[in-house]
Amino acid sequence: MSVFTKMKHKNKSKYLQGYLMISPQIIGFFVFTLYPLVWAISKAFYYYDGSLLGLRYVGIENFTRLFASDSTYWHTWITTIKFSILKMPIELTLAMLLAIILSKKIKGKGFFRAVFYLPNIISVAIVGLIITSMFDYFGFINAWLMRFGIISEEIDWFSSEHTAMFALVSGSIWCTFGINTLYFITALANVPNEVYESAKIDGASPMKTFFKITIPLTMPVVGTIVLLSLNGTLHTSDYILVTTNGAPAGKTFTVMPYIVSKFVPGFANGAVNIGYGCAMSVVTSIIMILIALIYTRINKKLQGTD
Amino acid sequence: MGVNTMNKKFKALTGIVAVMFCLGCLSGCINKSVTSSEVTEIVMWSSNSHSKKVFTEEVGKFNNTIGKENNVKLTYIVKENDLGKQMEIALQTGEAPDFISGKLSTLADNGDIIALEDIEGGQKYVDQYRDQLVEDIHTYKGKTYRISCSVITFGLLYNKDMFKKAGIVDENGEAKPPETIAEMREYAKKLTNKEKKEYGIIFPVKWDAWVSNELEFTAMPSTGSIGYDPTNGTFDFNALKPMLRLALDMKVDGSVYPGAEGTDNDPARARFAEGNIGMKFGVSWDVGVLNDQFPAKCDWGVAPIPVEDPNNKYLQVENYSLAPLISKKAVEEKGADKIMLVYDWFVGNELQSVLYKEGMAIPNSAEIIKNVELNNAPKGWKEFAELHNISTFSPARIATDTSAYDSIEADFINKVWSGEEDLDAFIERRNAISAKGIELYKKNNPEYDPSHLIIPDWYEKVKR
Repeated sequence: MSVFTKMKHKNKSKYLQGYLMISPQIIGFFVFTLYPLVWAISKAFYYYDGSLLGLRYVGIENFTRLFASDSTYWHTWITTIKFSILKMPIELTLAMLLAIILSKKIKGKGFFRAVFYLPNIISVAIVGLIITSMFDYFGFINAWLMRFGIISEEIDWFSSEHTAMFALVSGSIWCTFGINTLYFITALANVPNEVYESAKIDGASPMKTFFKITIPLTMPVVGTIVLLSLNGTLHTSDYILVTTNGAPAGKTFTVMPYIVSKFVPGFANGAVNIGYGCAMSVVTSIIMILIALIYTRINKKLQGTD
Repeated sequence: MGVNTMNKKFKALTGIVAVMFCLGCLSGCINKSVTSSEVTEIVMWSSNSHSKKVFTEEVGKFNNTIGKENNVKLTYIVKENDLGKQMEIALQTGEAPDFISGKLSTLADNGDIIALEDIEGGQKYVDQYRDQLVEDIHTYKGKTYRISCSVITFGLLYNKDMFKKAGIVDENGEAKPPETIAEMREYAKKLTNKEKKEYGIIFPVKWDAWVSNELEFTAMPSTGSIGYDPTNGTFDFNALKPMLRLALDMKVDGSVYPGAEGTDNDPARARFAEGNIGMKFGVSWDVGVLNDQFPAKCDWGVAPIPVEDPNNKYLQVENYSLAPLISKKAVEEKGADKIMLVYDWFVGNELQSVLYKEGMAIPNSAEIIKNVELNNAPKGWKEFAELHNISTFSPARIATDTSAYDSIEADFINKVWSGEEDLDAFIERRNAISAKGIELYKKNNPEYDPSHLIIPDWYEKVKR
């Protein structure tokens, strides 16, 4: 066997080993991601109530209904945007500030990092229960607000859209700021110390150092952190279902829990048009992809890498 | 270590991973239901975790007696999480148990289940329960697939301590629950004391089934209907008005425990158990809740649902606790005689009597309720069981397509409870939606014939 043939055989063998190693992931992708995706897209053109006899081709009727007459769905998008605008700036700013403090040489740094990350590993169902209990009419929050004289009468947090949204956003920030803190700590760790030392020697103030050095040098990673946070916030579903379930009157439903609670058998009451739910999911996915693309474009422009 | 040795080790590792992966994929193909040459194993799944202990004992007795004599072993498995989902997956993978649960029409259309008429020994149940069979629940396209061997009754839970303290008592000084809707509103106001955090009633508005369980079903004793008129196959939600109006009035009165929009059913039951809530609509399964899960700190009782006019009242709604559906595949593989042996035991009077005595299920047989002595029954159990005498199943409804709209339950909470829409306007709008829904369903299913669902003498049948 020539040297060339031996090498070709060796490479083939290496490729085969590589494909075998990644085959579980690829098969999983086809079975658990691609197939359900194709199934959902195909069902979007049908009326389907879960029974084979209830399957009926309706063409683009589901999409027509969604765009022409389903105002509730578009209202959930407004709620989703409101939720994101209220949550993300506070959460990311808080996470960044904590990351800066925890990046310094302080005692108990490891302990604080663990404590801040802890809410992220608690089950969403438990978080929902905690928030519901804390914001109960006779709950912890009202009790302390009355004790400090901030309010004279208990607030019914879940009876109005604004107070319910406040409770939701507070709980969501508490749940996810820890992971963002860790991401920011990683980003800050990549800024060389020498740059900070040079800035100190040149007499730069802490604020100037933060805006002129920290932010620009961490911008590429921060961009990714913001994208992940945006993606997670737009997809928030279980937390809202458990905490408010849309209360009051469906006004705190963002788009994902709305689709789940109304069109997923087992979650929705009574017979559901799964086909319409699939059409809704297709449109939702397209909108989320567009949001991600717009964000990526803006981020690139801001970083000057476009 | 040479390159060749490294490559050999890498190849060996790849091979091991590939084999393990294949074994993992094929593990689902192993038939878990092992049948020895002599004993046939019959598998049943259930979601009833609250009766697990009792069932485990009774299944043990069955296996040591009837089962042993007939070479049958019953394996009873309680599935803690979402039985419906697990059953769906099991049916798709061919791993379903021998007794199935799920949506009747889907399972029948897919050929997963067998009708009682088509299995030897099944016809007797069709004859016995003929008057109680509801289309789409028990029967489908003229065939009977299941029966209701036990029932779930609805009642009004009331806090006897609070009633006595408020002076709402009868001539013997015992707490007197409301008999009419007007009394219920009045008592709720009397029982409310905001300084002491005591309220007349609690509503779990966050609970998905709040409107259906506590406002729709409870309308039946006043109007004979829960919004569907089986005498002519139409929907008229004016039948719900007395109860919907009561809920709104109590909200305006301030008698409703605050934070209703954020209160689910479990927290509502826990609050009732704490002893500062005067009344709560309840279901017979609440007996276990108030005795074991959230042991009540107050003396409480169960009363019939209040009515609008005590001189013109109807039977209450009760729900059916359904016997399982019989798998067609199980009958073919294991034999009708073995399957029916287990089925007969499951729906038979002996097991139903045990479940009744233990406070697990109210039998569908008034005879059992009458004849069985309840010596150590949990508090409230006898009262809920006796409500079976003034209850009936709600009729099957004509099919509609209202999928383009929110359910009436969600719509009531979103529009009326929130104050956005007037109750009368809401009822008129929902009646129009349902009428449109009937037409749309007929248009898309021209072969649909709902004539068998019409019960011309419904109101006479359910009059009390």
